Amino acid sequence: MTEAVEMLVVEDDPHDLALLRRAMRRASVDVGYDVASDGDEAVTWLERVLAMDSLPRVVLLDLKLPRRSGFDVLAWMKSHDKLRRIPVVIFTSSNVGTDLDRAYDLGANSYLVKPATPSDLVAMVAQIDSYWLGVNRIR
Amino acid sequence: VLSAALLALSTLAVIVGLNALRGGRSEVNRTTEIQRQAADLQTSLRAAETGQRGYLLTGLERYLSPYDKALVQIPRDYSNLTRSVRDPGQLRRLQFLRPFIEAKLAELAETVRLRERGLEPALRVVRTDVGQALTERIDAVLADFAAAEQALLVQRVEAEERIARRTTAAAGICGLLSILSALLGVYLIYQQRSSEQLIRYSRRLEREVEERTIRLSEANRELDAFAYTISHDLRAPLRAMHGYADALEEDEGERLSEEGLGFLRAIAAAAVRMNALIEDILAYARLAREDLVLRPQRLEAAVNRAHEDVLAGDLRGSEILIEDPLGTVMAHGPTLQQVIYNLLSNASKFVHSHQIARIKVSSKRCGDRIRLAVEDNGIGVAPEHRDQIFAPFSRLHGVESYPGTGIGLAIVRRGVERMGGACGLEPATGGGSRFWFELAAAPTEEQE
Repeated sequence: MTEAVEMLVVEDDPHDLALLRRAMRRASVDVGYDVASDGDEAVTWLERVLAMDSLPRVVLLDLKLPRRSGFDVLAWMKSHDKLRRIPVVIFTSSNVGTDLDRAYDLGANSYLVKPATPSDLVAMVAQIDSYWLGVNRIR
Repeated sequence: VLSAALLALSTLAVIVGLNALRGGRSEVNRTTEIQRQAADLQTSLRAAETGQRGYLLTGLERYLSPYDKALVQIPRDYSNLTRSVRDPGQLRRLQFLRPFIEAKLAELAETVRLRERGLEPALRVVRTDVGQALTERIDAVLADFAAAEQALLVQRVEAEERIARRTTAAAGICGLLSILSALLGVYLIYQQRSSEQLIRYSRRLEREVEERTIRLSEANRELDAFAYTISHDLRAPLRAMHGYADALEEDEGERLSEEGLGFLRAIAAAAVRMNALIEDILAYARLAREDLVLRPQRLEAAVNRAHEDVLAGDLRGSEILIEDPLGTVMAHGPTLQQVIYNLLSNASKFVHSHQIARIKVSSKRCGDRIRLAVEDNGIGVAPEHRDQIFAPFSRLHGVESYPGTGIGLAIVRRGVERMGGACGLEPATGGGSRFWFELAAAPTEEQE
């Protein structure tokens, strides 16, 4: 846990995670990030960094997670005084309209469907970096 | 109630009939009595005459015994007879008879009185034939009376028979009515039972429908969960396969042989195909249970958008000719879009190799519907395959020659049917196929 942690990735699928790591290398996205592999772990992680007063710049959140779902984590964050301003980017394989509506209703800041090819994933990671993290870097 | 009323009515009819019959019986009995009394009167008159003659011949007092008895009996017989007779004609005959009887009795008394003086004075009276004439007259009237009474008897017997017949008929009708009422009762009871049974059946049916609806909604929920599982869990490993294959090619491609690169691309292509299959199955399953809200949809806009989508995924390209205007139909936007996309995609796909698909889209009004036809210059469909082609997973060609999941046309049919329409296939004039679907025209279309 370094102080340079700017992003929390909540992802349970090791393959998706492996391809995401590769895409970040390929896109030359040089940010410190930590990984939580289920909803409970994400909540524990956030509570810990909150206590240390070092909140991440963005949370990349999968929806279908073991134990506590992405929706629950999202709802918890958005109703939390100190955490609700952290941008949450939903990163899911679900292209079901109801999931999208529900995520935005709960306060999600972006909704991205996992791309089918690694090259598309590289492009998407580059976008996440420039949009959600780039502002911070300019400053 | 009706049955009881009928029974009471029939009973009443039987009682009335029996009373009439009894009345008829007593009439017949009276006639017989009158005839007997008339015979009695005649017998008494004869007895008086017989006694008188015996006395006249012998002059002996004891021969007068029948005469004396008869003298008492005759008025009694006569009065009995007049009391019995009711028929006006017969009464008149009796009144007519009375002076003759009295005259006869007077003649008899005269001769008996004269015999006390001697045989000759009495015989003188007898020889006047007055007595004989009176007897003949009396006999004639009594014969007349008896004949009339006989005629009356015949009438009364006939009347009785009529009554008997009527009573029999009444009894028969009563019996019939009773049977009918019994049948009616049985029918009503049966009817009641069957209506009770009907109520029982319909209650059972309601219960079953309710139970099935619950089971169906449970099944639907399960299907939703199943569909979600498929869309997420089944596609995750596919994404991994595809992703690793692409990543390997990008990262290490230079170190691989051409054959190795080919294998990698085959893995990726298989993953893409499987992903498309899952998408189509999901779309097909969704179509079965989603509520489709129908709104007016412009066919030209839908066709143009679908064609752009088809061109985006088709390297060979296709030419499309739209014979506008196509009109506006009542449809569920996304489903209509998918139906048209699948038809255009099919038309551009199933062409002879090294040929570019030429697609003609046209529409025509069929009553309150609009029929959209997509005609191609492709390989066509044999008549024996025209029905099976709309069934899910039916493929007429190998994946190698024509890619696809075999669900496209099943989605077309289910989609169109869920929107209240119909679809079909006929050979096109140029040797290709002509797929069509019909949907209700939009109300604005009606005004045009």
